[in-house]
Amino acid sequence: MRTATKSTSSGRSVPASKPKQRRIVLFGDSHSDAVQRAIQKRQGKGKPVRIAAHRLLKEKNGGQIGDMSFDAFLTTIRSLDEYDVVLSMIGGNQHAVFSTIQHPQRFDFFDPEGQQPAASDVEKIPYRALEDVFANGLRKGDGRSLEAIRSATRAQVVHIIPPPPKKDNAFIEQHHETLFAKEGLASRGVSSPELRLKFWKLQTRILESICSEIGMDVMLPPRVTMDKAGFLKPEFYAQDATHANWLYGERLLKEIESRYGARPAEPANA
Amino acid sequence: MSRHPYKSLPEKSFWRLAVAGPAMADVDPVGVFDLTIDKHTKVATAGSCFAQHIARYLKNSGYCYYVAEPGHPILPPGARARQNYGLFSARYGNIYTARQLWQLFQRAYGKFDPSEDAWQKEPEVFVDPFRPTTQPGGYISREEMVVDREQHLAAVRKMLESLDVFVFTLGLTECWRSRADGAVFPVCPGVEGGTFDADRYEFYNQPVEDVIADLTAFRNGLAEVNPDAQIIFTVSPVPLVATAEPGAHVLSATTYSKSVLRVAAETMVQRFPNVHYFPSYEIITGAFNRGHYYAADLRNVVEDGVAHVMRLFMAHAAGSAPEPAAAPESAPEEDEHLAAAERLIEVECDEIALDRD
Repeated sequence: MRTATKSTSSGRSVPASKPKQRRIVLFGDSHSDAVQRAIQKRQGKGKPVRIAAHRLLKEKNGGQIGDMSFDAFLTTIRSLDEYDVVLSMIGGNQHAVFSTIQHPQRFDFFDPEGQQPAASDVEKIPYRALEDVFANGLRKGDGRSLEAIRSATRAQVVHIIPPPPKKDNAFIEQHHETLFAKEGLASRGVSSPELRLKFWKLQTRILESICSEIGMDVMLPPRVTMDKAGFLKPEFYAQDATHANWLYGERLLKEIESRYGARPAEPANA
Repeated sequence: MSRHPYKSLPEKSFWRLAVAGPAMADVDPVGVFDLTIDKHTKVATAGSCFAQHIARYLKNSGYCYYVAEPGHPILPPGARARQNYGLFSARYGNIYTARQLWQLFQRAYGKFDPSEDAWQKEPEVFVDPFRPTTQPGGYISREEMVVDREQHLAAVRKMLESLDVFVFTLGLTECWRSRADGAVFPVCPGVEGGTFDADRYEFYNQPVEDVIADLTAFRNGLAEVNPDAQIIFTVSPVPLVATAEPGAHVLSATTYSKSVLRVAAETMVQRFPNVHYFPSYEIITGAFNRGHYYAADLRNVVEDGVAHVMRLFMAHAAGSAPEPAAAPESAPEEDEHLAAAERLIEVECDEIALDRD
């Protein structure tokens, strides 16, 4: 078997080192669940996956959700180098809080893409007032976590924008029935799909802005998972109002691999 | 022993006894003030920036500071404050002149539709010429501005028709107006938006008869839509930041402006039984305080001065001292719907891990 060699500036041939494997680590809240499931599916079929995906560890009602604390994640990524990639799926459901259930005092808003309020007889909230709410909330919440991640590692850090909203109101109502009733919200109904999409876009713009300020890239949901208007396609629905399923996670994995996984990393001795 | 009218006058009629003699904090220049408010009286405010203090004290003292345009409850209280909801009873921003007040009334009732269009500062930043600083960051489109203005004017109508007491702080006589139709602006075009063009805009320094005419028109208009409404005029003690009166010195221009406003307010009180005057101007500018109520810039009023004004206002109008207290009928600060929605989404986020494919 031949040994690979490379030439030095002096013309001597020395053995080339094996390219170092790029490490890709993903960490997030509930939206990372879709990726974790996709990885499990692949592994179940004996396919290796080069992406390690973790969900934030949380104590809830005496039980545990997730598998890694935020501090443990920061410790993990401190050892990564600049050729590695950290993917964030932190937060992401603020838009759903504002736009899933119809508010008893109905409202709508204009958005910068020119989409007009769907209903003419409801209160219009100025866009920049909502932008202020989201910017404040995201900067004080997820923004701080993203900054902590950014400053903890030399690796490239990419924030993955959460999946877009679902268009199907009947689906949401059906899968939220129990929770709606529990919160006394059953009679309020679901907000319009257009309102949900506008809130998701608003959140996306603010996340893009925050990420740009702190030196992080942003990855949008794979185009193939969205319909023409920008809603999540039904085949990627998880069985609830806001999350995507493992198929969506699989599409994300493919996107991640295409962007970061196929390229060889720098040789270890470079 | 000689007899003359001064013999029977009260202490407050005499400078030495009422102004020079008492301790600074005890000076009370209120003459006649025969309006009473209680905790259910809906008090609405408008005017120059000094009017904001009245709103703040009323709210903190448990009185009904009436806000007809509070902002949608889905906006958290901090955001609503940042977006200037609740600063005044409707989101009109500062109303400095009597003409601006009267034109607001006319615009609210469709009697005046100024030709001035939105002021565009950047591709996605539009400003309302008649409240240019109200929406931080501006509106994203002309259409959004127009729709928000329609909502605002509806709130103004609601306020005017359902308030019990309207407190208006007169601020200035100087303003800029459109040569096209006489519409006046709170800020000179070109300062907070728009472009200054001498062919389109002109300086207008209101003479006293114009101020009285505008205040009278407003008073009569309000009486038509709300016959029981009471009006309190005050004059802002805050001097002009600058004068545009040709050749004038800003100090003399301030004296002119405040004098005109003071005369107009007094004239209104003499003419109409539902109009009252409260001397916040005198409390802040009176020589008895030796300038202590102004900040180092000799323009802004310090909190001690505001407290003096409001202590006397509450004593005369409400028979009580201003105390910090929760408003009895105030709306809940946090939106119940948003809190429930947040719980619901949180449950969903927790349960996605249990979901089966």
